[in-house]
Formats: sequence, structure tokens, C-alpha cells
Amino acid sequence: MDKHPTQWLPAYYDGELRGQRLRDVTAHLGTCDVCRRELAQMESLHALLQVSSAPLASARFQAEIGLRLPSRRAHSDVPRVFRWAGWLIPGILLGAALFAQTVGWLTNALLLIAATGWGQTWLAWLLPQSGGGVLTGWQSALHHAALLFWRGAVPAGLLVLALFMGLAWLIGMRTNALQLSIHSA
Amino acid sequence: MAMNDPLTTPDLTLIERAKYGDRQAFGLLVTRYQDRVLGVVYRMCGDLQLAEDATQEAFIRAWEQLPCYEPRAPFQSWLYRIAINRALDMLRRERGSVDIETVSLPENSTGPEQHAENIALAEQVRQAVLRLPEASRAVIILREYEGLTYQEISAALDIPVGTVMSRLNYARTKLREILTPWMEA
Repeated sequence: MDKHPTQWLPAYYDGELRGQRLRDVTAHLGTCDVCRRELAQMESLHALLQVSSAPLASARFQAEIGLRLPSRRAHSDVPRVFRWAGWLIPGILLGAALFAQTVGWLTNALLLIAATGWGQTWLAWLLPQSGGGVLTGWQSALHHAALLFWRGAVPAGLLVLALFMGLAWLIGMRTNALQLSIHSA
Repeated sequence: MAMNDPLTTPDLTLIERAKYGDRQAFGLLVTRYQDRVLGVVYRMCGDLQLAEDATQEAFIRAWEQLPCYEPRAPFQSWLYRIAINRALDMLRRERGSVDIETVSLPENSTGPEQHAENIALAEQVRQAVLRLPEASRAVIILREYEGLTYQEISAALDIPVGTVMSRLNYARTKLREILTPWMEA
């Protein structure tokens, strides 16, 4: 290395050079008085800077920080995507109940419309065929299912709602208890 | 939360406990780092009262942001980053940043006559550091006083390592210009 490695001398002084560049600069320093003086200047500057000491924290410093620390909600290690998992089961149950109830209402409405004779043209495929079509058994089963849905949807919906509210209440109680234990610690 | 030996408990353990709201664990972290952080902030702003306020604010912010802390970066660098940002914010709010052209150095010949030599010299050095631009000042403080590696400074200030090197070179050159009369040949 013939040129002075001026730009690498600070990194050399700070112990940040590695590999070939370190070997190059070390070799250069062995033969170059100018760069050795430069390095000595850095050492002098470092020594001079150390005469300026910084104050230490006072005894009341930490106490004041402790007093000023705001309350913080408990941190959860559970990844954010899983934090909603607790709501998944009640959500699915509620969704299923709503779906079943909607299907029941729609089926009953269609059957009612078909039974009154209105809309026979576009609901003909749903009505019993003379001589017994393939749809007769299916329509009858659907009718029974609709009745079951209709009779069962309201209590089932209420049950799911109660379950959902109970779970939410439990989760809320658990969170409050955790926060209380943290704040009182 | 009880700890076997608070003095030897690793930072990561304390951090994890503090994340869950353990104030005692956070208090231990404050004890470990308060002098270093206060030192950095004091050297950044040159005013003890301002430095104490900024350091306290930095620890409070660290407490608030601890749940977001990722151990990939050293805790010390993360803390310095918060503290330096806080110090610069407060400095700008309080009195504007120190302009390198407006800070006057006492004459070399008058200092030793009026004060103990080491105190005067320390003041010269402190003022010289304060005359550096904020960006270079932060880098030289973290390197020369805190002994951080280039990588750690890069993480603390969120700048590339190349920028660390260039700012460090600039700061050293500038300090040598300012402190030439006090440097050993």
C-alpha cells in the first residue's frame, strides 16, 4: 500500500478493521511515520476527551422516574393474529346460528309463497308434482327441516348469544384481574 | 416479582419482566443504565438540569415502548437512541441547537490562571464537543465516551455504518482543530 490509508486509520484505531484491509494498514503503519503520527494524534485526542467527566445520577433521580412511570397494560407474548382466537369459537357459533336461522326463514317464506298459489310459475319446481316427482321427498324433508329450524332457531340463537356474552364476561374479568395484580405489584 | 440476585440478573430477563409491567425489574434496568444515559445526554446538551429531565423522559418513554422492543438490537443502543432523540427534542424546544459558530472558548492562557488546571481543561473539552454539529456530536460521544462499536452506533442512531465512519472522521478532525492548543504533540 503506497498511498496513505487516511480514510481507514480511524477504523483501524477503533479496532473496526478486519481481514486484508487490516493487514494492509498494519503493514503500511510499519513503514510510514506520517500515518503513525496521525494515529498518535487520535490517541492524544482520545486521552484529552477523557478529562471531561460526566455527572452521575443523583439519589433522587431513580425515585423520580419511579414516581413518573405511567401505568401500562400487561404485555402479551401471544402473537397478534392469535389474540383474536378467543373470539373465534363464539363467532363461529353465532355465525352458524345466524346462517341456520336465515336458511329456515327463507325456506319457510318460499314454502308459504308456494302454498298460497302465488308465484306458482317460478316456484313450480318446488311444489309436489302429480304422480310424485323426485322433488316431493326432498321438498317434504326441506319442509320438516324448515319447521325444525323455525322452532329451534330462536332458543338456539338465545343460547348462542348467552354463551357468547358469558365468554366475553369471563375474558373481561380475567383481563381486569391481571391489570389489577400488575398495578398493585 | 422476586429475583434471585438482582445484580446478576441478565438484561433480557429484566426486560421480559418489565414488559409484563414489573416495575422492580425496570428499576434495576434504570439503575444499570442511568449514569451512562445521563452522561450521553449531558454531553449532548451541556446542561445538567436539561440532561436530567431528558434522561428521565427517555426512561419513561422506554418503559412505554418496552413491549415493542425487539432483542435483535442491543438494549443499550435502543436506550441511547431514545435518550438522544429526547435530548435533541428538548434542546431544540428549550433553546435551539448549539451553533458551532456561537460558542466561544475561553483563552487557553486565562483558564489555568483562574481555575484548577484540570477543571478548566475539562470545560474546554466539554465546550469543544458542544460546538460540533448534533449529528457528529452524537457519534463521537457514543464512540469516545461509551465505547460503542460502529455497528452499535449505527443501531443507536439508525444510520448506516458508512455514515458513522464519516461523521466520526469529521468530528475528530474538527475537535483536533478546536483543541489543538491543548493536545500533546
